[in-house]
Amino acid sequence: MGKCIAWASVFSGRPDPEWSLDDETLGFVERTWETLKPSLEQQPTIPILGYRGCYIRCPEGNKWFIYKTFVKLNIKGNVVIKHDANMELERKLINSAPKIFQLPSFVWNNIDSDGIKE
Amino acid sequence: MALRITIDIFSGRENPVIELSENESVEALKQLKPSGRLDQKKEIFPTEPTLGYRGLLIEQYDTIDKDLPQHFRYVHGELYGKDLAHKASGDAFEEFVCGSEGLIRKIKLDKEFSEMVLKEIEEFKKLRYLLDPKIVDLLRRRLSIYWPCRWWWPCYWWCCRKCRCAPIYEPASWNDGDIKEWNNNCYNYASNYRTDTFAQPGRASGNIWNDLSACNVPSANISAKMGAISDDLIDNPNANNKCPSQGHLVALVIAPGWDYHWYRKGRNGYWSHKPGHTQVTNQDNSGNAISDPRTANRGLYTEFCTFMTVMHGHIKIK
Repeated sequence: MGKCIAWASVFSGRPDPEWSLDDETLGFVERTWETLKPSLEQQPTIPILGYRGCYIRCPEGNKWFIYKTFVKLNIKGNVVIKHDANMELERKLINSAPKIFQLPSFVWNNIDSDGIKE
Repeated sequence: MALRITIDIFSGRENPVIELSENESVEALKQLKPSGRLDQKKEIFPTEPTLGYRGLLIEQYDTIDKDLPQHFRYVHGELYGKDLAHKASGDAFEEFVCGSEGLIRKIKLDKEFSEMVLKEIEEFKKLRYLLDPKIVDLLRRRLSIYWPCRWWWPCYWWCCRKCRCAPIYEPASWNDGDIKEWNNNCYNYASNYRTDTFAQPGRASGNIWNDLSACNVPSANISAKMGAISDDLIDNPNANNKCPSQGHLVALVIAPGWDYHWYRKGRNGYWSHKPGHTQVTNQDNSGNAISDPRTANRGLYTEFCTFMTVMHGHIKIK
């Protein structure tokens, strides 16, 4: 079984930064997911240009989409939405990007704007 | 001597065809005899394709009347064909063919068909008035400066003729939620060139960008603009949001240090774009239609770089 892949949807012309998730981060994501409360909220409005959220895609078919407090897990077509009030998942995921990807400052700013950057 | 008349009116189904007897053909040819030549500006039948009635196509077979070509078109008392741009002797030939007592009765169509054709003939007359080059020139000069193109503007399509080479905004053809959407980016969409490779300026020509710090970079480096130029897009910095006479207009913007982005101008005069892997849209970051990318909300793409022209079939991207 291969590694889960994470990427930030942020660029338009050049390819988005994409990286393999380490076990520690994946474990954090899975544990945190279990603690979050299910939500009926609609997907928030996402900017057309600029940071548009993070994704995780795992070999067994699980796919997460995370944008601020909105977290969606799609397991082979079954979609569950949860609310991450502290945006821990998004912060953890962006922090897990290798430095080589040099995630742009506006990705950080997106989280900064809510005052929760680590 | 015999004539075959096709009522050029449909788009999808076959046009109705009327076969004339010899006597009917003789009578018809009297009305179709060319008289004076048409005004020079009217010598060309309107080239803009229109929906609905477009004239009567007349074909001579067996014996050919030497005053007329084998195939020609009759519209509103005028004849068009090879070496033919003349007034017809009879100006009521359409009534003769399509009127309630006309030859149209020979074909088995609904009773209402004759009425519909007659109405369409009148509609086409109005449309041709708008298509008259003199009127087009006059109105374009008077109005196009002040009026933006709007779908409700009756003269919409000739106002926008300057963008007639631009691609139509058809997001569904890119937004397939699959390979096409995922593997094509703003550069693919703007150049209207699907590669499924997330194309990069200059990659096809071996001159891929390596510096996104600005629109213009030190000469040792390669900017996105330089990459695009080496892919044979034409830099058109003075386009001032006006469509070129050939090809279509695109615009390059830069998120300094991070990324570049492309927009393309559509046939309706508005701009659209495809942000990365996401869907094609015609809105800016404020949710507004984009009439000019220089003034649109572009988020982090703060530097407007240039307009460029894409000549269809003349570029190569990868």
